[in-house]
Amino acid sequence: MHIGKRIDYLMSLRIKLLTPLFVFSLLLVFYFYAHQMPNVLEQLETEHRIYTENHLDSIIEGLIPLLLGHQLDAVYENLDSLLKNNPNWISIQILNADGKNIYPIQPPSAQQSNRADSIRSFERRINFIGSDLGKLILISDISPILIDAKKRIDDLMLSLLAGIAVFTLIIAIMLEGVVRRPVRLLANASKKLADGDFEAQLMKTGNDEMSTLIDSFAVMRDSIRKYQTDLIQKNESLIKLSRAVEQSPVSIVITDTSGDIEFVNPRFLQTTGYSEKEVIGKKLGIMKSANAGTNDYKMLWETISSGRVWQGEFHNKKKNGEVFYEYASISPIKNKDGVITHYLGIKEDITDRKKLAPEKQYAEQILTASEKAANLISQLLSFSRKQMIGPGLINLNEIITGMEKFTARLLGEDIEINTNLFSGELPVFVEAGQIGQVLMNLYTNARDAMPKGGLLTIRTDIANLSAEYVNINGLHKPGIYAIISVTDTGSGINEDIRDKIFEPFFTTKEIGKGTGLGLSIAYGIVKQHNGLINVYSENGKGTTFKIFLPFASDEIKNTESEDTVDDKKVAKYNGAETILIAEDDEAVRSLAQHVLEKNGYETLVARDGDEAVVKFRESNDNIQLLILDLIMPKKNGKEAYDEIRQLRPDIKAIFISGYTAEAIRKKGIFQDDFDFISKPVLPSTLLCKVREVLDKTVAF
Amino acid sequence: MQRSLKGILVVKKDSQIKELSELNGKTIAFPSPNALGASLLMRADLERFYNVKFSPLYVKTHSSVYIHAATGLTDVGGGIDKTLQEQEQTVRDALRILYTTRPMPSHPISTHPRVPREHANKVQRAMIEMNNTKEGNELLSKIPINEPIPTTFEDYKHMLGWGLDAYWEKD
Repeated sequence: MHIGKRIDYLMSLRIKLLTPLFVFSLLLVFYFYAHQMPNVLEQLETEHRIYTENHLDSIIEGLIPLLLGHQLDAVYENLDSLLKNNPNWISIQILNADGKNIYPIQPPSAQQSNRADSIRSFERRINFIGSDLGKLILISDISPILIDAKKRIDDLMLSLLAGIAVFTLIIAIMLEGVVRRPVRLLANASKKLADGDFEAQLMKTGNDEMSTLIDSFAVMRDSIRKYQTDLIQKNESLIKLSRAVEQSPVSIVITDTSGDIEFVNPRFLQTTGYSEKEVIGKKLGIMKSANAGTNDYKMLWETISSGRVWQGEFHNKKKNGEVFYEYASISPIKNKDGVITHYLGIKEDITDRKKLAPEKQYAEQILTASEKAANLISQLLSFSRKQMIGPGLINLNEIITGMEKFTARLLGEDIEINTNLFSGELPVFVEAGQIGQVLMNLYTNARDAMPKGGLLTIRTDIANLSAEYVNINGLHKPGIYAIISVTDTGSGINEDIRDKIFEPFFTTKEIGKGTGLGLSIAYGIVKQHNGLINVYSENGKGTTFKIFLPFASDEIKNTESEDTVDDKKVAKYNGAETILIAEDDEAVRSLAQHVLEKNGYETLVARDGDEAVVKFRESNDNIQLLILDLIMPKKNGKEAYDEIRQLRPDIKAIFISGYTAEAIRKKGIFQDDFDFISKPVLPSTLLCKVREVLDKTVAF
Repeated sequence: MQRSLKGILVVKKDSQIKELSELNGKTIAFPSPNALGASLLMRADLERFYNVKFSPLYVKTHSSVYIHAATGLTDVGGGIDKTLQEQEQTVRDALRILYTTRPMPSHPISTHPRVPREHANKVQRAMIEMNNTKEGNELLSKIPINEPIPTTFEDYKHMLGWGLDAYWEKD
C-alpha cells in the first residue's frame, strides 16, 4: 500500500472510531487475565479447600468407628472408593497416633506429592473423645478445577471478544452506511464544488447529525453559489468600470493617502507622456509646473484630507516639458469605517478651452452689453410709441407664471416671492411682452427698494369698476377689470415725489443704475391697453403698484399678431479680407472681432483712434476695411478715419455709434453719405454691412 | 469331592520374623475368636504345638487381618489361604505366609436335630439347584458360597479329636 494511502487509512474515521473498541478489548483481556482470573482462581481454591476439608472431616467421622473396631478393610474400602470417585485426589494417607501408616499399604512418595503447582495437601487430625487416633493426609490436584475455571473464563472472554467483534463489525457496517458513505458523497460533492459544479447530488440518510451536516453543506453550497453569482456580477460590473476607467476620455489617477500614485489610466499616460512605470509610486507633484502655486496645493491637501472634494485647475508640465492646464476634481476614497484610504483624481485637459476662454468671456460681455443697450433702446422706442404692438387674448395669470423663473432670478435670493393668483381665468386683450415688460419694471423697482431683502407679493384679482371711478381715473369705460398688484416691503415712496414717478427720466437711483424710464414706460403701456396703473405707498413700510386692465370675456378681438422678424433670414456673408476694428468698448470690440473671425475674416484691433492709425500704418496693404467707433478716446472715429485716408484714400469704413445715423448727420460730422451701424451691434447686421461695404465698388 | 481350607499366619513381606518361636510376646490379628481355620485351629496349633505366647487382636474380618499385617500394625495376622487369595494384589504382595495349618473341610450348612430330615434334604436340593441357575449362582456367590455341594457329618467327624472346643469363646 502506498505510504500516503496507508496514512489516510490509519487516519480514517473507521480506524479512529474502532481503535477505542480495540483498545477496550485489549484492556478487557488484560483485566480478565491479570486481575479477574487470579481472583477467581484464588476464590475457587479457597472454596475448594473449605469444601475438601469439610469432606475430609465427614470422611474421618465415618472412619473413626472403623478404626476403633480395627476394621481396616472397611477403611480401605471406603478410602479406595473415595479415591476412585475423586479423580483429582492423588492420594490419601492415614497414620495412627504413633505415625504408623494405616492406609494405604504403600505410603505415597514425596515426589508424588510435589509434582506440580496445582498439587495441594490437606491434613486433618483424627480425634475421638479427646483421643488422638492419628491423621488423614490428602494430596489433591486442583488443576481440573482451575482448568475448568480457566476454561469458563476463557469461554467468557471469548464470548465477550466475539461480542465485541460482532459489535465492532456492526459498528463498522453502520459507520459505512451512516457515516463513511455520506461523508464520501459529501467529499465528492465538495470536490465537484471546488471544480465549480454545484449540481452534485447530496444524499440524505435520515434525520441524524450527518443529515444536519448535509443540510448545512447544502446551505453552504447555495450560499457559495449565490456568492459566486454575486461575485461574477460584481466582477462584470468591475470589468465594466475598469473598461470605463481604461477608456475614459479624462485622466484618472488614484493615490494612497501620502499622495503616492497607485494607479493611472491610459488617458493619463497619453496626456502626460509618462509611462506607467515612471509614475507609479511617485507623487503628482512630478508634473507640477513652475507656475503652480504652493498655496493651491496646500489648500488641495487640506480639503481632501478633511474628507471634502477639491475642484480646481492645475498648471502642469508634461514629460516633454510642455505645460498644460487641467481641471481636476480630487476626492477621498473611504472604507466602510469612513477612513480615508486613497484619493481619486479625475482630470481633464482644458488647455484648448483656456485658450478660447477669453473670447467666450468677451462674447458674453458683449451680449450682456448688447442686451442692456437693446433693452434701453426698446424701452425708449416703446415709450415713444414707435414700436408696433401685437395684442392678443391671454390669461393675465399666465403672463405672471410664465415669468416666474425670470422673476426669481431678477429679484435674487434675498427677496422672498409670494404669488397669490386669482383662482379663475383673467382674460385680457394685451400684448403679453409689453405687460411682461411692465411687470419687469415693477419688479426691478421693488428689488432696488429692498437692497437687504424682503417680501414681494404678486396678486391678481378681478374688480367691477363703477362709472364714477372710471371717470375719476381716466379709464375708458366702467365694467370688469383684471387687477395685478405688486407689493414690496421696501423703503416706500415719499409723498412729495409720488406724483412724479410716472414721468419720463424721473429717477431716485444713483447715476448708472436706472434710466428713469421704467415707470414711464409702464405707465404708457398700461394706458395703451386702456388700463390704469396707480401706486400706494407708505414711507418705510413698502409700496404697492396696481394695474387695472379691461376684462375681455365678452369682446374678444381675434387679431393676428404682426409677423415677427425672422432672424433665420439673415444671410451668410463670409469673407477672407482683413478688417481693422477700432472700438474703446472691449465688449463691442471683442464681439465684432469674434464674429468676423468666425466668418473667415482676418482682424486687427485697436482700443482708440491713435492705435487704429498706428495699426493701419503697420499693416496698410493688408487692410481692406475699417470699422470705427465714432466716440473713442484720443482720436474719435472720424479723426482716425481722416488720418488713415491720407495714407490710403480709397480705404472703406463702417462707423458704429450709440447715436442714430440721423443724429450724427444732424451734428454735421459727415458731409457725405457714410456706412453706419447703430449700437447695439447685432452679429447678422454687422456681417451684412461688412459684406455690403466690401463688395461696393464706389470710390471716394 | 470334599473341598478343604487351611489356616495361615502372615507377616509383612520384609518382616524380620522367620520362625514361629519369634512370635512370643507379639500381637497377632485374627478375624474373631471363633473363626475356625484362622483363629480356633491357629491358636490351638501355636499354643499346643509351638508353645507360643502372644496377644490376640480381633479385627472382625480376614481382609482387616491381612491389612493389619501388611501395614505392620500387628506383627502377624491369622487367616485362611482361601481368603488371602481373595485379597487385592497389593495386599497379597505385601505379605509373606509364615505358617500353614493342616487342611480341613469347608464350612458346612448344618441343621438342628429337631429339623425333620426331609426338610433338611429339600433345603439341600434347593441350594444345589439354585447354584445351577445363573441368577442363583450370582446370589450365592455374594454370601459367599461358591459351588455348594452335598456333604454329611461324616466329612467333619475327624475334627472332633482336634480339641478345638477349649479355644471356643462364648459371646
